Amino acid sequence: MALSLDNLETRQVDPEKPLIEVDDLIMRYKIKAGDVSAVEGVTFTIHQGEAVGLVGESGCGKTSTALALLRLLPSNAEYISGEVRLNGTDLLRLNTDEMRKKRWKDIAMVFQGAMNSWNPVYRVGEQIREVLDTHFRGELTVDEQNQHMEGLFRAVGLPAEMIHRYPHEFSGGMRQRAVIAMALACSPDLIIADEPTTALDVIVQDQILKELKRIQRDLGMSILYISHDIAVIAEVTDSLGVMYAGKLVEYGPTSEVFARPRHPYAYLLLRSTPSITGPRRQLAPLGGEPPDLLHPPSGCRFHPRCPFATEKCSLEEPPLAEVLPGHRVACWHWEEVPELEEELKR
Amino acid sequence: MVPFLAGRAVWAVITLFIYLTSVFVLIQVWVPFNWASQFKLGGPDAYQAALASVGLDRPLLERYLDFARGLVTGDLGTSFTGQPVWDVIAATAPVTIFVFVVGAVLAYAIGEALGRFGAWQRNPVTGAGLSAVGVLATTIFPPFLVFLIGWALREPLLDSREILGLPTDSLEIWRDVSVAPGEVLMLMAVALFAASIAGLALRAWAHHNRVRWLAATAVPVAFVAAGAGIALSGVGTEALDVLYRIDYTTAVHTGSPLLVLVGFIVISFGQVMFMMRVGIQDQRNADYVLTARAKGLTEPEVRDRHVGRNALAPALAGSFLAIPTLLAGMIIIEFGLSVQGLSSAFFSAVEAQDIPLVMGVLVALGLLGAGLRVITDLSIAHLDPRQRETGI
Amino acid sequence: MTATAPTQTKPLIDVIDLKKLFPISRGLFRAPTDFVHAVDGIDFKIAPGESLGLVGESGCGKSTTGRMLVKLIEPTSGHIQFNDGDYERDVANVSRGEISEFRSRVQMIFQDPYESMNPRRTVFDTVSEPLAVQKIGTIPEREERVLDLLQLVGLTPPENFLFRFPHELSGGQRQRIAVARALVMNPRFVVADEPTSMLDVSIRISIMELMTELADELGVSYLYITHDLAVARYMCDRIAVMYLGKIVEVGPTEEILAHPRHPYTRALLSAVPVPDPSFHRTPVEIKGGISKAINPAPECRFIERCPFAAQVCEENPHPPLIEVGESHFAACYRVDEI
Repeated sequence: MALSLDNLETRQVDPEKPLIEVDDLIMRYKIKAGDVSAVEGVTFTIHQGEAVGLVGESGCGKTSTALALLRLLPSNAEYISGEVRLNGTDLLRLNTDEMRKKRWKDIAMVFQGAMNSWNPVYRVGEQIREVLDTHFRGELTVDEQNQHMEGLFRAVGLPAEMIHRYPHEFSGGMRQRAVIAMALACSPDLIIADEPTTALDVIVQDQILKELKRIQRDLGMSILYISHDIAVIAEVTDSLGVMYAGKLVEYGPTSEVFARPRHPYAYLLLRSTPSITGPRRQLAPLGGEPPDLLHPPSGCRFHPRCPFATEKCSLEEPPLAEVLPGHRVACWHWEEVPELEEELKR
Repeated sequence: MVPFLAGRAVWAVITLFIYLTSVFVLIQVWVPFNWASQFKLGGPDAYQAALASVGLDRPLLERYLDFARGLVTGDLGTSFTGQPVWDVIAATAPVTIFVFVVGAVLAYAIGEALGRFGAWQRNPVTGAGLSAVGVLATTIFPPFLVFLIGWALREPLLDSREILGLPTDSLEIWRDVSVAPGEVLMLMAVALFAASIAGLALRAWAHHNRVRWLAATAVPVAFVAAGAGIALSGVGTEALDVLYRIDYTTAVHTGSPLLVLVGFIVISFGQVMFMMRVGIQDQRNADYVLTARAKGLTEPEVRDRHVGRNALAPALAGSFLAIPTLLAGMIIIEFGLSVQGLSSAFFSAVEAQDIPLVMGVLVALGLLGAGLRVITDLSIAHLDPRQRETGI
Repeated sequence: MTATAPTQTKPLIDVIDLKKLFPISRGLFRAPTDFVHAVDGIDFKIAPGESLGLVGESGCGKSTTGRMLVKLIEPTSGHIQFNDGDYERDVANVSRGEISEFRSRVQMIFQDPYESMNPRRTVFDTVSEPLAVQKIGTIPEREERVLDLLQLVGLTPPENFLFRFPHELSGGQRQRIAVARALVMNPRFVVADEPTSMLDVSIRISIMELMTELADELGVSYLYITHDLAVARYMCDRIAVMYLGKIVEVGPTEEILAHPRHPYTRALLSAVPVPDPSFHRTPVEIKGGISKAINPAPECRFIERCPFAAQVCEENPHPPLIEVGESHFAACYRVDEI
């Protein structure tokens, strides 16, 4: 595969075709005290050229899901069942070497705290070159590699000559851009961005997100955003999934889910996020803490905190079912959720 | 980088200055003073005579300046045995320097490799096994180590002289040669040290320019080249003889620097191994490790290129700084293996209260320490670019 | 030039031309010639019972300001007048002997709930520490007080939490304890430095709710330091926007959000993401800038990045705060033209 001097090929995307299909993924962590149920039957699809968001609080399983796509989970993680299909191939069934080849080339990742993704003792260019050597061994000369990397840096708004600098010579925002440049190096089909802008200032964050959006559109790349920042997800994603305690509780087009959230947790989360627009304060009757995943609640995992919980909720787990066109919700009482609207208005 | 080096050099000089002054005060002032005060019982005249005999009747500043002048010109005074101190040091230092320099490089290489391997192991048996070996090696009772080495290695070593074609009478070898055994040892120490630096530099260049075969073979090739150079320079036989034993007064079987080298490596590799292991365990959960895996690198690549490299700098710092303290163990090993090195010279001098010689050895050790410090700083600055910013 | 609406009573906090300069040492033996102007002459007032939000990006000096107000850092120059009934002091003049008295009136809540608590001490130890230091009350009395506070901050049943250690608690619980500790001496004024940025959204909201409730019930004033404008809006009646050590705009929160007058405030607001996909914001583009003011030039700090920079900005020193609306001030020469 030749990397053009403009460094990144625009691809033809068919928004109907699925790129990644996560199919009933179940994954647990083994610790001394038992099994932690981290990802429990998550199912969703990322289409070509689509930006999908996974939103939820710490411990909800969104990062674990993302890492599972690359099979980068720690050694005590166990894949119980389910499939993760990339263009039809189940990634979970590949052997180590085959998977290794797919990493970065097909799916690249921008990590949480991406600024620490850089090894401090090597120059930034060396670390990007590592990726090129691993996946395009022998295909590019050193000069071609340099040109490619300079192009990548220019594409993310960094001075090309900085490929020869060390990570500590970059500011926080610049390091983030460099990480994105590295993610693009092999022209992957999907970029997973895990909290890509968390530690950044507002103005820099805005620039980085714009950058990512432009890249996604211009190059036809799919992006999976993982974030607890609901405002960011609202702005950059086409579809969104809300996770709670290892479960996907709501999924649908972003505008739809924000306009009509139908899972109580999703509703409370989305509606009561502080914002500079809209009402100043909204009461968020969401008491308690997320559950202990060693011993998750029976039935619906949200029922101990849910204002609509009934006995059924504590006994039977609701499936993630399509309740409105393209909009899936896992709740027995999804129709009653608009009542919360009234309560919040008080 | 230059301001950094300058800053480090300045610090080295300052520390050396403080060290030498303290040595002077301790050895030239405090110790003789203590010794002389026992004569107070014999009356003021006896006391004065005693002070005069150790030179304490002269003004302090004058003596200090003499000392300083002597340092600069290389005149370290005369030992109580009659020999100039410088000669004694010149004769005994080469072995110690050889063992330290070559031993440090080899102990480091072994310790680092084992540390890396041990830390990455999932198998608890191997990990525990390596730990046990390391602990045993570091805490081994030096006389016991000497016994083991002598018992296990001495005879085979001497027997192998014949296999290598070395005459058993070492005096014959040295009869018509214009170079002293000490010089040959220094030559070997310098050559092997330079080979390690050259090898590492060559490997770094090869990595940078993607010449893989060279990167893998650079260091061994450098060592082989150094060895060939020594052999071809005409002192090959002498060099071998010196390695096996050094004795320029009689032809009797005496201590072998090679055995002392083995002893040194045994007692010092353990420390490097542990520091490397701790460093790796510390770093392996760093963010960049996950990124490295995500990029599709193989496990050995992640372990060596990323984690290992980052664990290197602190391990290096720790192990180099420990070297001066290894001197204590070295004294016993040198003594036990009948090798006349700096440590045993020091020990004998202290026993005999040979003040000039004690001073001389302390000065030599101070210089060695300062030199090691600068080398350490340079290595760390090379390994960790973040350290290059800070000067003083 | 004062930056608040006229009040009948004395302001609780009156900051006058406050400065903090940090020297940058250039060598072992040379006196420093370069200084970071972390806080460079700011003025503001906080009325009793009021909450002021101090917002800005990293390096603007907001944390440094907060620390000076609680006397964790000493100012280089300027005054912090604290007026609490019959206790009136310039914070810089509070002597060593008076510190406990001061600390019983002014407290701080820190950002990191994982770092700000001693892992070896129980909840009881941590919360009752101010009481112990001042030798107030007997142990049973202190226990009572701590239990009351734990109840107040929503850690129920309080007996369950009394002798726990920090590592047994979640981030949200720890931050509630930080609030309890700050309140144990009934302070008049609390500086909160990003107390919720490390917490999950729902916990964040509950902590903010707690703090506003307590403000209403106990009459506590806050200086709420944050980079998150949405959070500042939730918590604070008034906001001061800082940039490179200067306050560039200050006024009622809703007013500033609706009508930002300073170019930096506009750029900042336009960059904040909004949790509403149907909302289209138009970001004001500004160039990248430095994060620290080292030996700054006398003209407007924002001149390099300002899309409206003009000759009047180059020729004059950094603009003073000018009244642009009811209790609303902005530091810009061109504020009426843009």
